[in-house]
Formats: sequence, C-alpha cells, structure tokens
Amino acid sequence: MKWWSMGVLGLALLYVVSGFLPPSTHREWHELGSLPVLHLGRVKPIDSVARSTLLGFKGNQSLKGSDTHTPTEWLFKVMSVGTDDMNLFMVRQSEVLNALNQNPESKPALSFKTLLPHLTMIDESAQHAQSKPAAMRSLADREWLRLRQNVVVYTQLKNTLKPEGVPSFSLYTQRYIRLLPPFRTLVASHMAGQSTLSPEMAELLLYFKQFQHIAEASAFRVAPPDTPNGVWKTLGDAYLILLKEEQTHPLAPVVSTVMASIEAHDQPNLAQSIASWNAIVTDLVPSGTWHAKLEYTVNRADVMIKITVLYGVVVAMCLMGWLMNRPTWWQLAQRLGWLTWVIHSLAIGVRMWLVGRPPVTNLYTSAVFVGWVAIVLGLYIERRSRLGLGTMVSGMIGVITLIIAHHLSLQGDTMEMMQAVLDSNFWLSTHVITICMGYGAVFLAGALANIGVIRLVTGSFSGEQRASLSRMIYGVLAAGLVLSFIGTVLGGIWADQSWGRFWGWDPKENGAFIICVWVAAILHARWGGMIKDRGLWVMSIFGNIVTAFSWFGVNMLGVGLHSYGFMDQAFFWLMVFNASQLVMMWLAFWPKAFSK
Amino acid sequence: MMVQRWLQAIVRFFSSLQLTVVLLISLGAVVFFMTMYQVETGIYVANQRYFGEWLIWWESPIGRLPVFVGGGVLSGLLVINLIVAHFTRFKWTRKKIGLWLTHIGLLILLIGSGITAVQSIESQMMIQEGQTVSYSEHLRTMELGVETDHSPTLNRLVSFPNSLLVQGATLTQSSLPFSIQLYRVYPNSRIELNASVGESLPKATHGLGKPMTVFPMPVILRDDYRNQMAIMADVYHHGRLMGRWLLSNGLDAPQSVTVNGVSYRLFLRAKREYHPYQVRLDRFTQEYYPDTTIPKHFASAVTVTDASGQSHPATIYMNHPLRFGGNTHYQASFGQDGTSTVLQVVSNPGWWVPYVSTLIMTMGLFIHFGISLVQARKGR
Repeated sequence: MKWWSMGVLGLALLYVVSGFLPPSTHREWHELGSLPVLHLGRVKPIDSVARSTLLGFKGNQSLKGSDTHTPTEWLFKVMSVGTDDMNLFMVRQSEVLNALNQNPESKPALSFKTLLPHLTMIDESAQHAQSKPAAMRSLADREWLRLRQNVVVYTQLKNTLKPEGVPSFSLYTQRYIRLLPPFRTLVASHMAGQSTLSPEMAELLLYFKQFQHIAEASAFRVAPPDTPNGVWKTLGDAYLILLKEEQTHPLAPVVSTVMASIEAHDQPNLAQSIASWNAIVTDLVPSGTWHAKLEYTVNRADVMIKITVLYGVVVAMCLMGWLMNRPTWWQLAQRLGWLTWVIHSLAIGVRMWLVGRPPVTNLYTSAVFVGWVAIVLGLYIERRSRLGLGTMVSGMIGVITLIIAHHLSLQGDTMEMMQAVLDSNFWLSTHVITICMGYGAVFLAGALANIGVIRLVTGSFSGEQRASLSRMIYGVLAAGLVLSFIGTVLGGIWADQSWGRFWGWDPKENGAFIICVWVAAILHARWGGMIKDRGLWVMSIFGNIVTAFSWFGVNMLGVGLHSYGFMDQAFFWLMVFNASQLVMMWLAFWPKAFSK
Repeated sequence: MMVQRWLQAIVRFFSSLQLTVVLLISLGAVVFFMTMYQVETGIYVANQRYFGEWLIWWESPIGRLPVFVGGGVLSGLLVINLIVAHFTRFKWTRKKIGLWLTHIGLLILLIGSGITAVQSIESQMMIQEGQTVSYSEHLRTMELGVETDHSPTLNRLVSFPNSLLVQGATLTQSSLPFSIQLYRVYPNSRIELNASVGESLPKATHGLGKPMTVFPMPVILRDDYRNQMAIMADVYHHGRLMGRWLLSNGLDAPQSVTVNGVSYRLFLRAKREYHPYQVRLDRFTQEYYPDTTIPKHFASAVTVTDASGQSHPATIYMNHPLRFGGNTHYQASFGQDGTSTVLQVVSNPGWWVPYVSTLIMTMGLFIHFGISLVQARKGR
C-alpha cells in the first residue's frame, strides 16, 4: 500500500474515532447525560431521554434558540427552571395553527405559554381524533394527538424531579427529611388521641401530597432498584419510602441537590452532586450504568452519520477513477469501502450487545442491516471482478440505506421494547435476518443494473464488461432467490409454530412472495433465452421497485387514502425512488445504447 | 394429421418456459393487487376475490367485468406447466438434479397448499375466567340452528349453513315438522328497541323480536369486525303461516316456536365447531413494559379436559400455542375487561406439506446454485 493510501485510511479512521474523545466543554452535562434512568420501559441514559423528547417536540434534535449546549442541559432546563417561553412545540398543520390563533406562515414552533389558553381545546380535539379508527384520522387529527402528547410529556417533565413551581427544592426536601424522624412518634401520639393535628404534621401531609403528585406525574423513573427484587422508582416514590423505612432512597437527596444547584447556577456543587449520583447508580446497577454509558457514547459519537459520509467518499473516489481513468482511485475506494464496512459492522455489533437482540428488531435496524449485507456482497464482487463497479455500488447503497435509516431514526427511540408477538430472539435471528439478506441481494443486483445502464448511456462499456456485469447480476440474483425463499419459508415456519398456520396472505408475507416470484421470473426468462443483457438489467431494476414495496410499501398501505405524518413523507420518497427506477428502465431501451 | 399437430402445439405451449415466466409475473401481479385490495376489505375477502374464483371481477359502473385470471387458476396452470415440462423438455442428468428437486418440491407445495386451503379450519374460542367451553366459533360463517330438548342427539337437531341463508329461500329438513322461509336476510344490521322510525320495515309477529326494528346496514369488510346478521323468518306448518320471527346473532337468546306441542328453539349465530374436549380458562394475565402501552406478555392459563375426563393444565402465550386434539390453540386477542381471552383454534391436517416441500426445494436450490458456483469458479 502506498503511503498516501495509508494516509487516507488513517484520516478516515481518525474522523470516526474523534467522536469518541472525551468532551472538552460542558463536562457536567455530558456526565449527567450518561447516567441511567428507566424511561418507557427501558433503562437508558438521560441523554437518550432528552434526545427522544426533543425529537417528539420539534421533529429534530436541534438545540437552536434554547440557549443550551447539550440535549441533557436542555432537558434539565425544562425540568428545573422551566421553559414556558421557549418555542418548543412544532406544529405543522395549518388547520391546527389556525385553531390556535397562530399565523400558519410565521412561527416555526410554539411555546407552552402560547398553548396555555388553548389546553382544553387541544385535549378535546385530540379526544375527537382518538375516537376515530387509526386509519381514518386526518393529518390534522394526528397533529392534535401529537400536540396533546407533547403537552402531556412537557407537563410530566416539569413534575418529574420536583413539583412544578416549588423553588429551592433541596431545602424543601431537607426539611421533609428532618421532620420525618419525629413523624412516627407524632403519628403514634395522634393515634392515641393525645394530641390534635400538630402544625408539623400538617406540613408533612402537604409534603406527602406533593411527593405523591410527582410520583404519579413523573416522565421517567430515576431511582434504580436498591434491593435484589426491587423496581425502578420515581423520585416521589423514592421520598415516600420514608413512610415505611428509616431512610429515603440514597439517590433522592442527591437528585434534589442537582436540581437546586442548577437553579442556583452553582457549578462546583452541581459537579460534586453529579459525581455522587454516578457513584450511587454504579453501586446499585453496575451493568445498567455501563449500558447507559455505552449508549450515551454511541449517541454522542454520531457513528452512523460518519459512516454515511465515508461511503459517500467511496462513491466520489470511484467516480474520480472513471473520469480520470485511473484504477488506483478504485483500489483506494475499495480499501476505504472495506474499512468503513468494518466500522459499520462494529456499530451493529455494539447495538446488538446493548439491546441484547439480533441485529434487526425494527424498520430502522433493517435499513442499517440490509445496507450492510448489500455492501459486503458488492465489495466481495469487486474482489473478483475489479471493474470498480462493486465498490461504487456498495458506496451508493451505503449512502442511500443509511440516509433512510437516519430518517427512520427520527421517529423516536430506535431501541424500543419488542411487542410480545415479536419477542423471540430465535426467529428474529433466523427468519428476519435471512429475509433482510434477501432484500440486500436483490437491491444489489438492481443497483448493479443501474450502474450498467448509466455506463451504457455514457458509452463507456465494452462488450466483455457488459457480459461480466450480467454474470455478476445473475449470481447475485441467484443468491437473492435462495435467501428470500429460505427467509420466507422460515417466516412460514414461525407462523406455523406460533399460530398453527404456515401462510396467511398477510401483506408482509405477500411482499416476500412477490420478491421470490419476480426473481424466479427473471432467472427463468434468462434460462429460456427470452432476455439478454438488457432484459436482465431492466428486470433487475424493476426488482428494486418490487423489493422496496415489500420492505417499506406494505408498511405504508392505506397511506394514499388517509395520511400518516412520517410515512406520508416516506411514501413520497418511495414514489420518487420508483419513478427514478422506471426512468432507468426506459433509459436502458435508449436505441443508441445497445447498438454500440 | 391435423389432430396430432394440434396436440403437439398444445403440449409445446404447456411445456414452454415462456408460459412459466408469464405465469410467475401474473401471479406476482395478482398478489400485489390483492395486497392493495386488502386495505379496504381485509385479508379474507381479498383472498376470496383474487384467489377463490376463476376470474377476478371488477364491479364497474356498467356491471361486473372480468379483469384477469384468478390466482388459484394461475397456480393450477403453473402446476400443469411444470408437469408437462418435466415429461417433455427436461433432461434427467446429474447436473440438473438440483433443478429437478426444486421443482418437485414446488409441485408438492402447490398441490399440497391447494388441498390444505380446503381442509384447514380457523375458528375462535372466547372464554371468560372460570368458564368452560367445548366449541369454537367461525368469524364469518353463520348458521341457522333449530334445537329441541326432545332430540336424543346432543341437544341439537338441525343446522342450516351460511350458504343456504339467502333471501326468499325455504329451509326444510325431514326431521323438522315445519319449514322456514327467509322473508328478509340482512347481512349486516342495526337492531333498535321501540324505534320511532322505520314504520314500513318488516317486523316480527312473534317472540323477542316483536318490539324491535331491524335497520339494514352496509356490510363492513374488516378482518376484526363482526357484522350483525339478521333474518326475518316465516315459519310454515303444513302450508299454514305460523308467524314471523326475528333471528340475529345480535340477540343473545334463541326464539321459541311450538309445533305439535313440542317446543323448538331457533337461533342465528356464528357457526360452531364442537370439540371432543373442554377448555377452562383458569386465569388470564397481561403485562406491559413499565410506563408504556407495549404489551410484554399475555398468557392464558387453561385446563383442558379430554373425552375420558382427564385434565391437562397448560399455559398459552405468544409464540407458544397449545396443540391438542389435532387443533392448535394460540393466543389471538383478549377481552377489554382483562378477564377473558380469545384463542384462535386452527385445524390443519396438511401442516406437514410446507415443511416437506420447502425442505426439498431448499436442498434443490442449494445443489443447483452450488454446482453453478463451483463451475463458475473453475471457469475463471
């Protein structure tokens, strides 16, 4: 390997690794963001709670206009000093904006203060929307539901680590803790009828009420189990244990000190109390803490985005190689492709370890995995054919699938818990993986055919190269048929094992069926001599449309009639993709192309 | 020899690879459009329409027009294509053994699934905690039943299946002393007590239905929806009209008709499958992930009592069905109160067909493409 080739790979590696370097500023927020809490059924770092909340409110993770530097700082600002003036709630439907007396043109996001006079209407509109069957809800209905959900979450957040509107929470809780020891004697004497309700007891009752309130309103549970069979508790419950036991949960006073330090802008105290928080959770739930820290590191490193960029560089290098007709560029691109793929694999591996599941558990992970399969097949083909095509296609597929994955990740937590019906690691790791590998192979064949058509049209293809490309496509399609078929069969066996029937014509099954039938049709047409190179390519490109339907299309069924927020956009892009593939098919019939 | 030439042409047509490709693509297209159609009608109806009939019909403004050949017919043609090709075109060489196995497997799968489509029965068993049930109900098929206590057989006399329940039809049976004429059949309906409108609608003259008005409703085609069927039934005894009764699966109680001093119970209900065993729901549990609506686990603890009176306790939960008496019982749904369960009961005697056939096909594909791969490597 030449020195400059090493240099490029070194730079790429450095680019990815740089995301893992410890933060140089706002350390306390980074440290706080890495601590574990139980949110929506899953132990995750506070940073992940902050990110998914931001996503839910604004549709992105941007902190612009919030005067904060990390998602965690933003979250704690919401929970402590309050952010009623901050424009947090993105509302996109003009019908909803009109109802809220907002000009649909002007404001990108609304503040809680703006929404406050309309809360009843928001709730009523959302209730109305909820009464309709899910498929019949309009875009505005969905927006009302989303807005109500966000308002509820916002209110919950303000009542998670302290009751809303109570200043100096630390002092408040200290007084509570001080009052409690004599509490039992007070109760005892009260019960014995020896005293009337003392002022101290009245005050304590007020505290109980407040803690009861935040125990119920809490957005997440902050206190890890402190006994072997214990459960995660909200802060309110962590204080209320005092009713039964001698001590509060050890974390309760620490969390309150953190909140008080934030309100008082007391940096040294904040850093110190975060350190004790860390020590307590590490002691109580060592593995949960370790998982949360790893997840936090992955969140912050933005590895997926960096991998996407690197795949883009691979594509650019291949293009350079063609334009300048210098195969050295291809070699470099190929090496960078392999390096990026290895990092891609590591990212998948870390994720599997974090969630304790096989690589594909939802649409997001399927995009990451389908890309991964197609890329390694493409790179392998390149090793055998050395046309620069395999690398180019791998890079392209990498960029496209990871962009799709990125947009899917904006729908919320990508590590959400599995529905009971899908909760089977055995079938997830056999059926789902094989099916996704089938998707990957059929996409690779289609992508190769796309490149073939482009090179034909631009006239840079010799007869031998053409034949070689067709052989590649044929081989990949054969692999695609075997994988899709076995994947479908495994799905049938899963269905038979759990439901007593092998096949039920459910949309996802139909999608898999259509892929198998289509690829079988291509191969039979090829064997029968009905199609030559051009026919093979055109049919393979259509295979992309078929696979995209099976992969995403069936999830969007009904979208044309009654729209879904995200899937609406996704539907648009699916149609753009399909149109682009139809154009490529048409280009393949460009008369000049094949006369050469 | 005209005939011979014609025959040859037919054989050539049915053995051609072109036909295979056309059939495969058509089958893919039919399944695609069926999937789209499922959005409106649910899986069952779409499947009937695209696979259950010879032709796929379009309800156009000017009438019913055939659009395409049904999926079942396409599959049948594929079977013929495959068989004819094997006898005429195929070379039985060792190199082709993979292809040969793949196609034999496919043949078994296609024929086998055709047979199981007819044989398999899916029904549902709804049980409350503490209740014991010995039957399951069909979701879409109804039956009109006549019962009497004086019958020696299982408390049950006659059941008229769904297919006979057509408006204007007369139901008779040699063991019944009366006949039932179906004056009105509403596939879906709304039944109102003491309705202020609907004066002109036919009303029952006898039984529970007397104060009720039946409003016809459009049929709702959804997998999870049960239409409320209603029938205005005229009962005749020796050609004499005895009265008009309202029968509906929306009415919980049967209607009684007395003929020759014997009381008969008439009812319209979801068709039942009686099983030679009983299932008691001991306990239904459901569990969610903390602070979410994502179900983590739901399970039915049941006790099955077989014909000999022996008890078999079992727990049915996701991915863990109970197989008993030739049926598979799986956790399909549950009641809103959280104390009742809905088990799907599937009887599928041909369950082994897909296993065997796909195993053969998988072997075939591996052998065939394995040989190609080895040859391609050698060729380089």
